[in-house]
Amino acid sequence: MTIDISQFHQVFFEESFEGLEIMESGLLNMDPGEVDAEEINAIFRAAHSIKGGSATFGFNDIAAFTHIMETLLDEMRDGRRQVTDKALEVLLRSVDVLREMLTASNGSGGLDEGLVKGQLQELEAVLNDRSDEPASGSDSDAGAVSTAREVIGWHLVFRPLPRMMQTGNDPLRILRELASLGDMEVEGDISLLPVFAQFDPEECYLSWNIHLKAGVDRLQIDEVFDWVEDECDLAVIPLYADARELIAAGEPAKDIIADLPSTMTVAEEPNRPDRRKNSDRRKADRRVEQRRASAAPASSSIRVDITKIDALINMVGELVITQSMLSMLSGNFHMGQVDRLRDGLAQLERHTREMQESVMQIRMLPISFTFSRFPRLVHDLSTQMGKKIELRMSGENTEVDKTVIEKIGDPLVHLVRNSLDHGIEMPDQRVAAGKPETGVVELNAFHNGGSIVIEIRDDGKGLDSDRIRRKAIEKGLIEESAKMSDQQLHELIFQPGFSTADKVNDLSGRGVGMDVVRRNINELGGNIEIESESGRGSAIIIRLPLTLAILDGQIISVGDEIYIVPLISIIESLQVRPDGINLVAGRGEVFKLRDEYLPVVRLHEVFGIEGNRAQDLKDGLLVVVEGDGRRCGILVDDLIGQQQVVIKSLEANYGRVEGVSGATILGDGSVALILDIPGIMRLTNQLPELQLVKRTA
Amino acid sequence: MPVQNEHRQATAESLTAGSRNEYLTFSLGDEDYGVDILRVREIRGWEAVTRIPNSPLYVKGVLNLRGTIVPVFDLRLRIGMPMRAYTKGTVVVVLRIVGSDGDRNIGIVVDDVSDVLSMDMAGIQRVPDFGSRLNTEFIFGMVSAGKKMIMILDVDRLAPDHGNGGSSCVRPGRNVNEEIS
Amino acid sequence: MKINQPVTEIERQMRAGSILVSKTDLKGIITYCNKDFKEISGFSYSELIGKSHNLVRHPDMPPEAFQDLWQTVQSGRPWSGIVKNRCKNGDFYWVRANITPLSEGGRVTGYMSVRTPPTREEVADAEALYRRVNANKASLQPNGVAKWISALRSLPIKTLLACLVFTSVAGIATTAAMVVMGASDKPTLAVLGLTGVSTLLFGLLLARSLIRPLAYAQDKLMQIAEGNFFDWVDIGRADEIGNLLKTIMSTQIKLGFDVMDAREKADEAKRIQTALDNVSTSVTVSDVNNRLIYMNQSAHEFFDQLAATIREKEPQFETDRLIGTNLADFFPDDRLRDMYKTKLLEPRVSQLDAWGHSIKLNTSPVHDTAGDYQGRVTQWFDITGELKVQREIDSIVENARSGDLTGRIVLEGKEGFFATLGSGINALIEVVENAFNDIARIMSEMAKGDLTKSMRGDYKGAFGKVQQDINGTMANLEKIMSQLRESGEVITTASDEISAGNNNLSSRTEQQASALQETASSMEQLTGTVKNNAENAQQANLLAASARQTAEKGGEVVSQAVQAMDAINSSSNQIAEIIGVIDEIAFQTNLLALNASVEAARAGDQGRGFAVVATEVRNLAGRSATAAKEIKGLIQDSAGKVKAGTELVRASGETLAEIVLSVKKVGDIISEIAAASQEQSVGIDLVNQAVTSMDEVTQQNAALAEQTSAAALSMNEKAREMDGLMGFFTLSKASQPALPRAEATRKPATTALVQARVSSGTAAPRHHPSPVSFNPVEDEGDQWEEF
Repeated sequence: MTIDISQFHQVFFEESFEGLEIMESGLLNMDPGEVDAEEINAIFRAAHSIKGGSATFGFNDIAAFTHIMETLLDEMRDGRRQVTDKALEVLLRSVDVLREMLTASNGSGGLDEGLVKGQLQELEAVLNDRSDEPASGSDSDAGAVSTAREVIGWHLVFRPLPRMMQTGNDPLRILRELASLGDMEVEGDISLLPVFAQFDPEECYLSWNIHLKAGVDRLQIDEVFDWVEDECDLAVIPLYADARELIAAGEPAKDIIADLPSTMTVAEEPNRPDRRKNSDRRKADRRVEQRRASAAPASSSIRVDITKIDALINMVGELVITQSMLSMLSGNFHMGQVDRLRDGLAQLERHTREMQESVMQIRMLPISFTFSRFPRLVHDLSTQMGKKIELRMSGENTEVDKTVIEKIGDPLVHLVRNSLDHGIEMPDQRVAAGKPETGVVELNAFHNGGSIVIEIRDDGKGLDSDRIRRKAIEKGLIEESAKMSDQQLHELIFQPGFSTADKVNDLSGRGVGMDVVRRNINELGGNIEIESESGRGSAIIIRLPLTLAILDGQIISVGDEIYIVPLISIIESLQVRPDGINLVAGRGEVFKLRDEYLPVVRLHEVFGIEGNRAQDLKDGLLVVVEGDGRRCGILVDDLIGQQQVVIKSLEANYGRVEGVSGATILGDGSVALILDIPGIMRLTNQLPELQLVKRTA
Repeated sequence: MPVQNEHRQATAESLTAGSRNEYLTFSLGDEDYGVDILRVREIRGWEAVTRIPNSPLYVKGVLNLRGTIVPVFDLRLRIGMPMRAYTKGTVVVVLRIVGSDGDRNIGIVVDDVSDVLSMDMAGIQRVPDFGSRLNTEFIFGMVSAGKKMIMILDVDRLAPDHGNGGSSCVRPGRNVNEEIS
Repeated sequence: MKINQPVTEIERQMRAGSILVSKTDLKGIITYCNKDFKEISGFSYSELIGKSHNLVRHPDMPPEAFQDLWQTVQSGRPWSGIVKNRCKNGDFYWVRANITPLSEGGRVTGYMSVRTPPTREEVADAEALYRRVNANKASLQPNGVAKWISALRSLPIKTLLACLVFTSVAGIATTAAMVVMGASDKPTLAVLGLTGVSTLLFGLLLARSLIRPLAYAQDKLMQIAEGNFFDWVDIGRADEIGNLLKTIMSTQIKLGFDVMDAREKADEAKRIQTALDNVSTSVTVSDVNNRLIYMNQSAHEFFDQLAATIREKEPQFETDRLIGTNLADFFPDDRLRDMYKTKLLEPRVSQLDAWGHSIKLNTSPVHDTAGDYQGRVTQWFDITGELKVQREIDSIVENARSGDLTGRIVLEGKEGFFATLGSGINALIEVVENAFNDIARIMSEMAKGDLTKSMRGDYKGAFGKVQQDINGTMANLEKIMSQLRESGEVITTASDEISAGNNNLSSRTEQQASALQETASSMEQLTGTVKNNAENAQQANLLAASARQTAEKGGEVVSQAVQAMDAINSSSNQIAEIIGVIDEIAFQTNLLALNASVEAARAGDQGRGFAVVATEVRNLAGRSATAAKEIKGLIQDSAGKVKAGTELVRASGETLAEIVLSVKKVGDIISEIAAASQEQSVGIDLVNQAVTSMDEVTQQNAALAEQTSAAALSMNEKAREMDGLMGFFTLSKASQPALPRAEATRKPATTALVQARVSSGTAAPRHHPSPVSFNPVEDEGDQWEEF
């Protein structure tokens, strides 16, 4: 019987990505020179399980890559190697590359083999750098150079751990497989053989030095040792053409190994310009970011606190009891039992609601899931920009709906980058401005009412109102003569295509910025505000609903159709008198709500609903709603009731529908669509076009 | 990669001579159609669905499939046949379709479900080329079962280009010819 | 510059001899103008007086002309020129205008204009000049040579005198000097000669400037003396003579104006006198000394008529010599004479009875403009005839009042008002007399019984009313009488008929009595038959009732069958429904089984067993569906049959119901027949009784008929008596023929009457030939006239 292991792929990937997160945060927490055993252990464990899993599932390249990282980490853990800045950097980048490899393996994107290879060599270079001195920048390029050299063979040092055979691995099989790759010379090392009395037949005391005379791929070799990676000490050293003489000279392999580092040093190309390195790295970095932005896996599994599950199980138990009671009642029901039936139903309702709450709780995750990436980001970017920045985070344990967690990441990244890039000044500028050299970026999350508030604050230079104004005039967003308050000017940065960066760099200022951020936030049902004081810093405040899975909705009807309007969007509902209606340009209807003229949106026109009762304004009701900072009155036939509705995705199986943010299931099992107020406003504006489309459809 | 290629592999397997696959067959008027039974999620009688505003004509609406919102397409309209009034026997077949961005569920409205047939894949023939007269893009191939000729639907092509907005549903770029040869 | 519009091209010519005169104040406001002026300008006095003189200014006149005029007259000199004036309606007229300032106490107070008709040559010249001036081609001021000539002509006489004296003295002095110096004679002579010549020359010049104008002035003054004021002097000169001429011209103008004024006033006085002369009333005027100074034509004739009578006492009276005498001298009445000899203070009316005439005098005092008494004016009226007629009419009216209508006013010798009045009174008396005569005549005839007379003649007003009433009374009386007579006739005829009818009746009554007895016997037979009939019907009724009961029972059975069928039908329907449910369950099961197959297929090998089960279930479901379909077919079939059976049963039920209904109807009819027979028999009994009583009544009728016959005879006699009495009155022919005609139609009328009665009183139709008098009440009052 064979097992289709592909069904476990997803689990593997999820675990691996989590492992990567752990590795990353761990690495960021480590300081050069200090070895926090616990920290490094955690990193090591994560790397180790990734390696094991990938080997199991046949992702050999990942396994090989991880193996090298693991080796490095192992040495650090054991104190055999000092924790240097350089090493940490390389490890962090390796985590990125690893993530990319995993993502590629998961079927969402290709892999830049060159990148992997380069990183691999960099890692190996670090690994092979035995000196205490921090590796010079050029070291890391040794691998890259070596790729250009012809590999004519491999020197392997294979030293099985004594327990290897206990796990069912046979060194002979490995040697045979190696032999299939090409000619080789094998030299047994029996130096570790114990005295006979201590001899344990189940342990392996032999080790081998192998000289493989074939220019095979490294991966092929790794494949052979796939299953024994953890069970042995293995060194794989490439032999290059220019080293051929050495081998030909018949020097003992051992010496070669001992000499290897110097060989490689000899081989390196000394004066590689730093700039190129930086740009490469930046490119890689950007790629990673892009990948994260576009294909960041919206993980489909969730880690839940066991207490929550227990509570849920209790609730289910209660529910089962209630259900059995009700079914007993229904067996031979007579009117005398009406009270009991009612009690039972009330109980059912209570349990259901509690269960709903519990389940919702399960979806709640601490925002630290999102925040966790920022230390790294700030670390990387500040280094890159030469700024000194301290990131302070608070409220990481504030719980937010899983969907919010998934979708808020990218906008936050953007905002934090903005703060770093545009907000915090260069250290000299800061000193000149009388501020501490190190800038502070704060990330705060807290609950406020029914919302969660996320703040990104910096003590940088703040928004330059004058520049925004100039830019806005230049882009034709405002009139030259327009008088606007600072607050209004600041709002302009949310306009599409608005970027104040004087010159475009690769971090920000690409013009696809704040408008997208705002739209994303709006799509989550939240809003975004900006506060800024010139010279003192800026704060961006995001308010989001606690959960996206449930909303308080107003059920409305138009014709035979039922829709849900989010209660949060509704300002009020009213019946409009005909004399309160005015026409603009003969067609656009507006009505006066106190001091404000609001456009009338006829939902039946926008959605092409037939058989609506309220053809005339006076026959229907106007639901005054607000969205995207604009208001309008939506004409509906009737208001039916208010209730909490569970949001279901339309996109999962169908796609985005303009004017509809989602669907829900009503009490009778039918589906009702939830209105997307800003979407409806957009639709209204394109109404004639829409009708044209309908006609031609 | 495995997940991605599952369907393709399955197709490839099913095309190897002598292998038999089970197909759910149903009828549209006098014509018989079949879908790979592994793609069928559920078969249910027709019930009223919730209309989606500003959607194409063949999109009848969405229904609630045990808490999941599933769009329902009228297969007749989808493949360009005339509409027929729904009756008690009208059936919705909920299908799983495989796209580049994951699986999705859709329901298709058919006149009647007929049977589950096990068919020899070797018998599948390509659809004759009708040129522009007839849209055969949804037909994967034809197979005869007894006296009937059954058209095997290429279910992955039934989904629209992901609703109104996105077009992330990338169609597998291959044609029947290549698959068969 | 005032421009008067409109203007026309029509020229008005000044009448020959007419002169337009006007006065203005210093500002040119018209203060006076004469009639000629008014007439030719077309304005009224009120439109002219007090208005500016430029009212008549014609737009063709160049302003320079008026400028010249005003300059001239303001400097105290007269101005003369040809002027085109405009009429009110826009026509124009040419005048030679002469204007001079008017002075009072050496101060100019206004201007006076006198205009005479210009010659056509003057007009033509002026027109041409003005046209050129208006076109700025000429000026009114002299220029060039004309100026020089004019200047030369105006060399003052003083200059000429000085030149003359100088040349003479210079020449003589030179001569003297030459003589003293002892110059030769020849040059001296030459100088002397030269001096002589030049002196002669200047002398001639002087003479020319002095003598000819003076002669001209003298000539003009002579003309003025002769009354020709309007031969205007030429005032072109500027020297002393010119001044003289200008003064003459002013005189001309002033005189001309006064003359025209006087002439107008004289004309007015003349008009009044002529009017007075021709008034028909006799008018005399006496002066302050009561001497007669005027008597008009009518007064002259008045006194001529009286002259003979007056001369009887005053032989010296002569009408032609009355002017200058005092009329009061001839008055016989002293009081009037005194009145007529004193100063009259106020108008008074007095009567003078003298000379066989009654004369009425209306006298009024006459005052001059200063209010001083200047005499009196008297109107004389002879009222003798009027008084005489008045007395005659009084006596005639008095007679008429006392009933004597024979008197008449003699119309001979009466004229005018009195003739008309007399004939009017005569006509009035005549009318009254005729009317009374007429009335008397008619009344006397009526007393004799003649009702045919009436008042004839054309009477009006109250007379007409009397005539109408009397005629109406007569007519009504006659009508009543004739109706009375007719009634009498009718009664006579009717009573005749009644007696005849009664005879007839009694014989018929007897016939009736015998017929009744026959009827009674046949009725008894009928009674027997009917009774028999009723018994038979009773039996038939019983039979019908039994048949109905049977049929009703059948109906009940059928309706029970229908109910049973319905029950079967509804059960079938329920079964069909249940089968529908089964069918649906089969459908659902099929779906479930299909879903199961799907699951099984998904489970792969492990699901294979399950798939078999699912297939089995599907087969079962299919078989259920098929069975359900078959049952459905069967049920539908049986339902159809049940339905057909139901229909059949229902039809037979309906037929039975119809039979029940028919039987019931038959029973009902038979019952009705039985009842009817019963009633018939009762009815026949009643008829029998009725016939018996009818028999009795018939006997009584016969007796009564005889009595009636006798009464009719007696009434007939009375009617004839009345007819005789009515013969006293004479009636108009129109009503008389009723009697003979009644006689003539007597026979048929009787027949008609009998027929009418037999046909139970249908009234005789109107067009029937029998006289309408038969039913006098229906007659309209005036219908008798038609017969």
